[in-house]
Amino acid sequence: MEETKNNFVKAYEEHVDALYRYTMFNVRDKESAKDIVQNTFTKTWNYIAMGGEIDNIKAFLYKTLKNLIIDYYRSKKSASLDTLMEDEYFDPPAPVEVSIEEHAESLLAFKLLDKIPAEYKEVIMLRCVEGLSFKEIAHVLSEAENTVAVRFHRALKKVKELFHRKNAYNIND
Amino acid sequence: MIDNNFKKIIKRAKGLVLSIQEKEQIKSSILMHMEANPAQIGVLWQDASTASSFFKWKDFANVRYAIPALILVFFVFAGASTFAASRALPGDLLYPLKILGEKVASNLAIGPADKEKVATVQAETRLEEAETLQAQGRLDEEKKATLARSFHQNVRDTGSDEGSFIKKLSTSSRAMAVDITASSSIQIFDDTEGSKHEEKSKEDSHRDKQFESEVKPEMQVIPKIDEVKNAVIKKL
Repeated sequence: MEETKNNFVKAYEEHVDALYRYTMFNVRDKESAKDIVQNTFTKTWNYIAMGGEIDNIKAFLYKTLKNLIIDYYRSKKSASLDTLMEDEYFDPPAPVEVSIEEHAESLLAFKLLDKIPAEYKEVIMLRCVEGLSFKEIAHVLSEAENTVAVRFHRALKKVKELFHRKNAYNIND
Repeated sequence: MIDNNFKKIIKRAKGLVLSIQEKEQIKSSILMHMEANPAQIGVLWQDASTASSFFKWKDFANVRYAIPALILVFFVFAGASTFAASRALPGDLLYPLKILGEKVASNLAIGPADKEKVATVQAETRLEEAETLQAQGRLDEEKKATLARSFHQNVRDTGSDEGSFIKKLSTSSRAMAVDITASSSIQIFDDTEGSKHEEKSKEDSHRDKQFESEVKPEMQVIPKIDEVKNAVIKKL
């Protein structure tokens, strides 16, 4: 049992930032994102405590997180999704360890990723930013692995088209 | 150019992280929750790199796996049963299954030559079964009769007469064929001729009773020769 607990804490340390980033990308509110991430871990622990088996903790955490984000949107029905997506809601303060410039660049990057069509945005985010495999993404999105791979390649093509057309995403080092 | 810009965006997006204090705060809340809800059993998980793709029982709940799994189980079971039945002997639980399989094989045989071949194999199988039973000391009269009946039927199906069929067999098989057919002949004799004898003896007994009741009393009325002789002598 102690080993299970240690493994869970290790999983927390390993994945918490990525889960937070993914949540922020979706909910655009720092406090809500933190709550959702915390709930993701407590719900996953409850599943383990009840004797549930998990093959891939990373994919399981993302799947739980995705469901909690959907619940979050449902609870925020009164506030439209468009409002949540507005830029002023997406202005979390920079962590102490990260410079203000770096943090601002991260936020800018998220804003740029928002330009990608919605159907491709999530798969780009999960694959490129969070580093999930197609198999893991397929588990999170409840889709076939092949469908995810095809969508990802179409998304990359779309990104290239977008960059070529607008030529507006020149980011300096 | 485009790829580089995209990579930079991705790299910078990855820079959005929680502060150490925030992480510790969330962690302590999670640990408190874990203390309040301890795991009942030591359940572990596997990372994606070490995750086994091997079949797990919970996968069985998924229809995608359940149907092929059930078909596989059916074929394995059917195959195992057929194999076990092919080695069954009279008196065994699976022997009727073996006979059923042979009947199916006979019906599936196309053309007289094929049917004869199948019947020949089946007749020889009966003799082999008899030999095996005899070697095991399990060949009693009842099993002999069962085997003989099947053997007669199989030989009839070959289209040849029993004598010529037995002549073609190897010495040991021929001996066994003679043994079981002889015992069956006795059995048949017991079944048919024996009943005739029984009827005959019943008729005889009836006749005896009739004699005792009707003829014998009349015979007692007839004077004996010696008595007649003595009476004649006295008169003289």
